[in-house]
Amino acid sequence: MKNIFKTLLLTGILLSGLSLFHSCDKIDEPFTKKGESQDTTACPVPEFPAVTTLKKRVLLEDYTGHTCVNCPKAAILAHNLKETHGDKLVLLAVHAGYFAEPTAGGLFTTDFRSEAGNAWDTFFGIGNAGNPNGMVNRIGFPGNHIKSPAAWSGAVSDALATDPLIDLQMINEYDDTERKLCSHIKVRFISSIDKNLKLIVVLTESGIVAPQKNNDPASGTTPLIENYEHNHVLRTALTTTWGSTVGFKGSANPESLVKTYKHILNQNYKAENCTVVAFVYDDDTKEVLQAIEADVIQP
Amino acid sequence: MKTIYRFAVAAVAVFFSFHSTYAQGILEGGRVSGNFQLDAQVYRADSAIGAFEVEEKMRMNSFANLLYTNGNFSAGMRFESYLNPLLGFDERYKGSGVPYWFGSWRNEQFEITVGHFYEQFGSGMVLRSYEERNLGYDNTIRGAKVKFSPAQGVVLKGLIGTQRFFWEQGPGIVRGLDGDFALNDIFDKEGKLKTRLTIGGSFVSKYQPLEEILVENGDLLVLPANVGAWAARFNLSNGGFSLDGEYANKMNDPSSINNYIYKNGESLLLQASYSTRGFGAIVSAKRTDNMSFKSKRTETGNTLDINYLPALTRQHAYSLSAMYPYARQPNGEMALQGQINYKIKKGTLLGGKYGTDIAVNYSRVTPIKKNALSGDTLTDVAGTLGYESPFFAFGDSAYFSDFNIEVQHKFNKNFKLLVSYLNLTYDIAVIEGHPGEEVVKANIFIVDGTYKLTEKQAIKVEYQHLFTKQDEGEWLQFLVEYTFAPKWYFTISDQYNYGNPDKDRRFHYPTLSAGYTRGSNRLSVTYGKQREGIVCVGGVCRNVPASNGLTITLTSSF
Repeated sequence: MKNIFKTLLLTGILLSGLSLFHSCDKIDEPFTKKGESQDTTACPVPEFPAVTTLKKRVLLEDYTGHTCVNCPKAAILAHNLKETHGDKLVLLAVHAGYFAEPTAGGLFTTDFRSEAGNAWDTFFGIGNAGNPNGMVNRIGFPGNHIKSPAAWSGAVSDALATDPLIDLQMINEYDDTERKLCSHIKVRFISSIDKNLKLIVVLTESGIVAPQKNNDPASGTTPLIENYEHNHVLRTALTTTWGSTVGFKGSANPESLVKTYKHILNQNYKAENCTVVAFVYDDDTKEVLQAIEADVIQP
Repeated sequence: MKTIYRFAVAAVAVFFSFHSTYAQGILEGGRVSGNFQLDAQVYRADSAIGAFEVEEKMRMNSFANLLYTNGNFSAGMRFESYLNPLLGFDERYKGSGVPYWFGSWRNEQFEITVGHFYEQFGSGMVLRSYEERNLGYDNTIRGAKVKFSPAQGVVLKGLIGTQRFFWEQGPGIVRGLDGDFALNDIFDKEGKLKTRLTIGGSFVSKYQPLEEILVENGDLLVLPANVGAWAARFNLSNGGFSLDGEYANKMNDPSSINNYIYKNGESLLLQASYSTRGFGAIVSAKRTDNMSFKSKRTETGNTLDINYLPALTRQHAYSLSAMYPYARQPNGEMALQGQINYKIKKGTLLGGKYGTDIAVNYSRVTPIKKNALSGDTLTDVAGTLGYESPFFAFGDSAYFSDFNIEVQHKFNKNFKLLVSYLNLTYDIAVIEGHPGEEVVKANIFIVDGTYKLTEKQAIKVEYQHLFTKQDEGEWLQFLVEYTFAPKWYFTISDQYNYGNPDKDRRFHYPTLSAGYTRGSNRLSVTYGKQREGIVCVGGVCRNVPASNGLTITLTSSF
């Protein structure tokens, strides 16, 4: 009797074990399906105007944080460079690393960090090197890409002096009732480029007033600027963190292609202060080849 | 969080109601044991070495375990408090609470556990739930576990639960079954055979609700909600000889760790060892391919791991030899390790009066070979099978290699000496995630001598020297420790980065520490500077930031 019970029990366990084998889902190719943000019905592609003058634009990423005392000075430096170079310089303030961590209580509870910003910071090792630090077109990777604010001006001029291989155009359409943003980016290849190219599109916001630590009297009150205006803050990526592929090594480029991104704007962001920033980079060297920005609400 | 408190309150209430009604039955003969540890650090900023200013000035990690056993019944809980977590530990631990509690009972055949539990199937390649306080690592499972031994030599286990994620639970459900069969106990009950064979197998499946994950061009991934993994293992032994092996395979499991590829994962571990009096040798080999297995697809940190991939490298204890520890690469690695231990007999020329112990160890880890899929130029493209990889092929460069030799000799009743040499190759770009940095090649020498002054007093002197042209260059460390057994010890040490290529960064890291032990209570106090680095246990690592200040550790058990 005892043996029969044992056999039954063992059979039961064996059967339940076998049934567990069904607890896995084998996925067959294709592993992807069309996503909503690719939806050109919701975001019909507009006509792009013809380009008359080709321009090289450079991306300056300022890695910063609200408890970083030397960062306001660096932000002013970036702002001055923007005044000098106008639309040829695209700014991105990436809040990431130790100094960007929000505190549980007190003044610095806002979390300005973003998934993309955190991933870039880890990959490029900027937080580890300390803030403020930045990258100009991500040139110099892997050994020499981290540029201190003192080196920004020279690096920007050097980068601007090279010829553009790619042209970027951007048209944004915004529907305030749905908070729907349609961002269209046209990538035009000036010549055939044999590189693995990726396009990253992100959203930034300016005019955010929040406390910032500071130790430079010329940049504001010390040790704290209570109503500091945070500009060009990286909010979120419209593409994935490392972007969409727009060119493959070993395959001929089309003359141009258009990428469309649909994005619902977060309720906390002020649309009138938001800008879309796009840049194309070489996936092997990480160097940014061209950048562009345009406001969410275009005139 | 709230549910944890509710349960804790309920558990206490039930416990006390038992106390009043069935006090005789359940508490008689019961035993309570436990332990406590507190680590606190007072921080002082030191911008030169990169020690940040800490707003709270002081931070603390502490925990207490309580365990109640009574015959076949046991129950336990652990209180943890991080106010706030020590630098280098995940900030998400901030707070206090009871993240671990369980009740368990057993009879001859069954053992049932509800609440939280730790478990390991085989070598852990498909399931290992464990805790490592030095890393701030805890992937305990909350749910139910049943262990069943229907016959001698047979152990079956089944479990289901979710995993700890700081003060919350991860989103995935883990289900597992494991069987272990000691064939000699089943078929050779009299024990006639000298050769022993044990076989085992496991199956683990995780469930996580579907979500939207975008790849290139905004396409959505077609995700599996359930992912299964299985493993088979054996252990063969005869006298001093033993051979172990385990093979594990995992179904399509796109995750942010593997960049959302759909290739099956697999891992093979083989280990042979032989030991006899005065001699031991062990050889092991491992291949890991796409075997990160977490109960959340988008998790990238040291959390929510369902499995554990054993590290085939020696874990070093001296500070400079542990400066470049290996962190396992779950996306792919080929590893080999061999170690020989030999004792030169006493009474011989080299053995002297007490004998001489020699240990030689070598390990090497390389990437796996990855070939792009036909029709593709790149590997690891999200939303594809990723790559093809020949099973026995080693990748081109080494992530890590370590040759080390250690000789220990006792000269007389009062003096013993350890001398050690290490030669390391360490791909810091991959292991520590600092892209672009040059591969570190280091030679390390260690001399450690202990001299007994009296029956109770001893002086230990350590000299460590690390030579490298890469990373931060050469390091030197001296340590002197005075012990007054069994209660006191005092240590003074200095690490000096005299060879830093940046002359302004040639810092000293001096520390002073003292410890007092009484019974099962131990208090230690350390004052000084700590260099930035990484600490690894079993190939799982965390960063340790530079710090400066006073550290207090108190441990106690009863």
